Amino acid sequence: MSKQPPARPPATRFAAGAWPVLTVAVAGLSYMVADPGSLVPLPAIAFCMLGRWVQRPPKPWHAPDWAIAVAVLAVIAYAVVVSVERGFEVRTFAHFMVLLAAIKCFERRTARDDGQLLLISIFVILSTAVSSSELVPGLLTLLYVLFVIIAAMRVQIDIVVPADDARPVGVARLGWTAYLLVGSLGFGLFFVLPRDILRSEGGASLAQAQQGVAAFRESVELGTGGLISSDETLVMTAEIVRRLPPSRAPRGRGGGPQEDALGHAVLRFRGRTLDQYRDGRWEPSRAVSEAINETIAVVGASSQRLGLFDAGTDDRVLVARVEQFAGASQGGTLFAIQKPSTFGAVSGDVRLAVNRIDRTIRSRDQIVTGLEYEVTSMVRSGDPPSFGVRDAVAPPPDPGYRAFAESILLPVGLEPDPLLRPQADDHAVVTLLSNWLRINKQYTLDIEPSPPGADPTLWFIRSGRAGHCEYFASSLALLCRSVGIPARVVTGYLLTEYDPPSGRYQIRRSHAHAWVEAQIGLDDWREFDATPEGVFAGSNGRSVNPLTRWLSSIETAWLSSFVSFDRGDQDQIRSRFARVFGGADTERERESRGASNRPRNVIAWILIGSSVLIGIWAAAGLFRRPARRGHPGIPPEAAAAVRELERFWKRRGTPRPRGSTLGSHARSVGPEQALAIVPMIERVAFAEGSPAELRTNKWVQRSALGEVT
Amino acid sequence: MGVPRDTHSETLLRPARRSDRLSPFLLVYVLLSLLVLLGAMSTQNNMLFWLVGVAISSIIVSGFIAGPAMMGVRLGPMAPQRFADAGTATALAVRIVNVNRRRSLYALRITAEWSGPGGRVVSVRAGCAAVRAGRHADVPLEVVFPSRGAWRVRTVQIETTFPFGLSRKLLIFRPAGRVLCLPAAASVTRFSGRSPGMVQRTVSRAMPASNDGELVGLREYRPGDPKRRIAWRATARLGRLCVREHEPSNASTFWICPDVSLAALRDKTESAERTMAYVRGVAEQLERRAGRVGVWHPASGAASRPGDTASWRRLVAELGEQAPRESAGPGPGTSGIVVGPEGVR
Repeated sequence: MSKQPPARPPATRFAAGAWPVLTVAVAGLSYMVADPGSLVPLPAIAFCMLGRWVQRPPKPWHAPDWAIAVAVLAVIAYAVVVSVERGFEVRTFAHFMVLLAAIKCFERRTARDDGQLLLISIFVILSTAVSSSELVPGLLTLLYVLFVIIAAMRVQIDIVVPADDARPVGVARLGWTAYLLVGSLGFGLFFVLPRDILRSEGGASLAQAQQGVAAFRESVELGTGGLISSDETLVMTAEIVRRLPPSRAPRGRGGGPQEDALGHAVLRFRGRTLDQYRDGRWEPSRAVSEAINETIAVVGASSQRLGLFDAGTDDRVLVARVEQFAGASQGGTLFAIQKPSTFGAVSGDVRLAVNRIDRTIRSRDQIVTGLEYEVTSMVRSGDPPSFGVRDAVAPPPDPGYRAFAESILLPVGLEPDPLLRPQADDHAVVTLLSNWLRINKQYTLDIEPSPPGADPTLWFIRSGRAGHCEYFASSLALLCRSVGIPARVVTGYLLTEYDPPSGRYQIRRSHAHAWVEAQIGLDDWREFDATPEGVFAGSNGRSVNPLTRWLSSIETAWLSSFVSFDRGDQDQIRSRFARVFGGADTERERESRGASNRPRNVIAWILIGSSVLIGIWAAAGLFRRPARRGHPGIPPEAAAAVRELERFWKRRGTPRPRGSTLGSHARSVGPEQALAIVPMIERVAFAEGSPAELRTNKWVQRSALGEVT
Repeated sequence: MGVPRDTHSETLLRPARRSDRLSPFLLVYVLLSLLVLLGAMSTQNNMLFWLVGVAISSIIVSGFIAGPAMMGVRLGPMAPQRFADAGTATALAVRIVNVNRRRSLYALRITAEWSGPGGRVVSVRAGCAAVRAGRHADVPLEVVFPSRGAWRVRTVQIETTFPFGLSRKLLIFRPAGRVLCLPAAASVTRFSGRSPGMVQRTVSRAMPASNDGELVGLREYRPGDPKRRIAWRATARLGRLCVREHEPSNASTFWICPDVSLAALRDKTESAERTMAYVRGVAEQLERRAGRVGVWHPASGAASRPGDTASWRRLVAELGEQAPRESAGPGPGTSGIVVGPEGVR
């Protein structure tokens, strides 16, 4: 007794309705990754799946209409209340959409509902795009496009043929084809869509806001999260393209780049300097923030001397090529290792501003998508005077700082009073204070709140046990000031994660850091870092596992080629095209040359356009070519009989007129045999009769031989 | 088979008209895409730029997928003439042929329209999930023709919004099929004035004893042949069932004459339609009793071929619109019955 194979399950509503739910799920997940603090999509996705699950045959269940209406009203109320309370937020909108999708999944399913789910998922994915441009949401968006394409195809089929009535129709292959076409064409359009028009400050702010709160800040406020960030988002990559002279690099000293145990320099990307302290808050003084900012030039690809420093014979020259992504800084701050001397923008032009007081540079334009630049820095090993007299910096208001500094310095014989202390001891004083902090305080990311009303820095020095970099920097700066040494807090990034395959440093939000610059001697500002060494324990290529490195490479590629793609990259692509066809190299060059190259470029574009059109025409022709000459709709026997009848009538001089049926023509012109054959042809054509009866029909055979006239 | 010549096939019908229509969803989609584009330009957000690229390319790819595929749609042969019952669902089929070499067709919505007597139009919709490349699909249509008469296929529209629902591609075919719609058969046992038994007797008396003409030979038995025609001796001799074949005899045919004016038939008055329903009922009853039946309408001179079922059915369906004269009608000595709106007279 043979066992019957199990019957193939029919296409069900549940199976057919899975694609829209999956699409919503991918969109929701993508939003969750883009906005890590948002957890609403997770239960919403679970409810979506549950809603479809309970509608599975044989006993589908769906929520009553009143319950759906109540749920929709509740979700609308939630969105309104939250929006009134916090203002309109992308997060609220995304939550509203995923909750709406969850409710829709409990409705009695129709193909139209599936279409609405797809529309909702589009809104969710737009929320994702507005919220983040990071790699994982980007990849999930790529996946989403595939899902939504297949789901849209399925919905179109379900609209015309209810899923219960139809056999399953596979559209996955066509879906993949469409996905590849849409994806590649979408990327093509992405590259050519015009940039830099309709660009607004508000938009730039939005673009910056979408990156989340940057770890780097232009002010420091103790007791808050500050620079602390566990966000591993890549914000910059940097390559040291030149290091001169390599053998003379100072090692392990406070005045120059330190090196870690593996020999890689722990470099610091200097961003902003903060020289004004009040109640635990460091910010730039008015003089620094307002007086000296000036736009020196629009700097393009050729490096421009900033006019700040000239390299001395003992200076160590570092040339860094930096790719700075959106969200790396606030207010257009650009980063350099110590003192920048020349600057050149690799991608596009930059309106550059130089601050001559604190020796920082910044872009006047918002860095919306990203910026690639090359900056030359001077790392001084000697102490040649470069500007004026020693800067006057206000001492800390609380005398407790001075008392504490004295308790550290006096036991080792260093004079706290600047008038009595030899200038040569300044470096030793700062180093001693720095070492004291490093030894006696621990590094932690958990903020221990200072007592209300107390100065957070003094509290940290006196009784705090652990703090993060801002506490150490603030403490060292104020202790230095208390003993007459000008000092300021610097915010920026540590370059601790070196990626050997790419030869670049990976700089993440979590690498944001604060340290101190103290004026040693007359006018040489040097770096000091009181933060314990543990904070430098970044990955340096050997400790990172291959998967992480691989992901890091992908992330770098994503950020550098996609997220930071801008007008400059477009110009590069255009110039490559133009170079192939002998046109101008860049837009600027084209402008400078005037219209002389225009005809050649027009010809080039005509050629490209013609090639594309020919390709499309060829592809369309390929698709249009019919399968075979003949009668694909009916069996060949019936088709042959039709042909014979037509020939026969033609031979007799009574061809069948266009539009008349075989039957009516046979009835009107005969003969009897034809009249008998027509029903036979119909039976065979409609699969009601056997083709053999036509094949063996004597009249058809004789007619084919031309014997019948 | 009523199809004009095709480039590739004599039997496949090309569309008479093509049109591309925008779907309402496309408007929403384009507006949304424009908003996203504005957002992208304002914020320089490359994710939004890419999504705009995807949105635009979806419209292009949608046309690229659906357009060439719909170029290869042909309409297969429709049943040239079919009978249907008025007021009841008739199962018909449209054959959609995909002559494309590689492109399959998906999500086709078929709308067929029939025009009938008095300019009435019947429209029916059906869906077809897919027609693979180089194949065909018979799409069943359930049509309810409201009244008796010849219903001609006016148009067959095939449209699709595949793949993304952004555009509607429409093909309009004008095939030449028709359906002859018979009135619902009225039972001859159910009319007033006579008892059912009397009616049966009337019909039985009217039937000729023998309705066979001259014997022309023997042939093999076919399903449906009356048992009394079986030639038992020949069957025994040859070892398979044989039946006697007779020349059709006009004299042996039982003629049914609808007693209704041509004007009433043209106007499709209630009494005329009821008469035709009785005609059909009587004819079918007589045929079941192995009778040869003919329908003759003296007022118009229309007459069916004696003993030809399709012929009298055609006449019953079309009487009033046309006067099909397929034979000379009853000759002398033939038996018949007159049927009026109240039944058999």
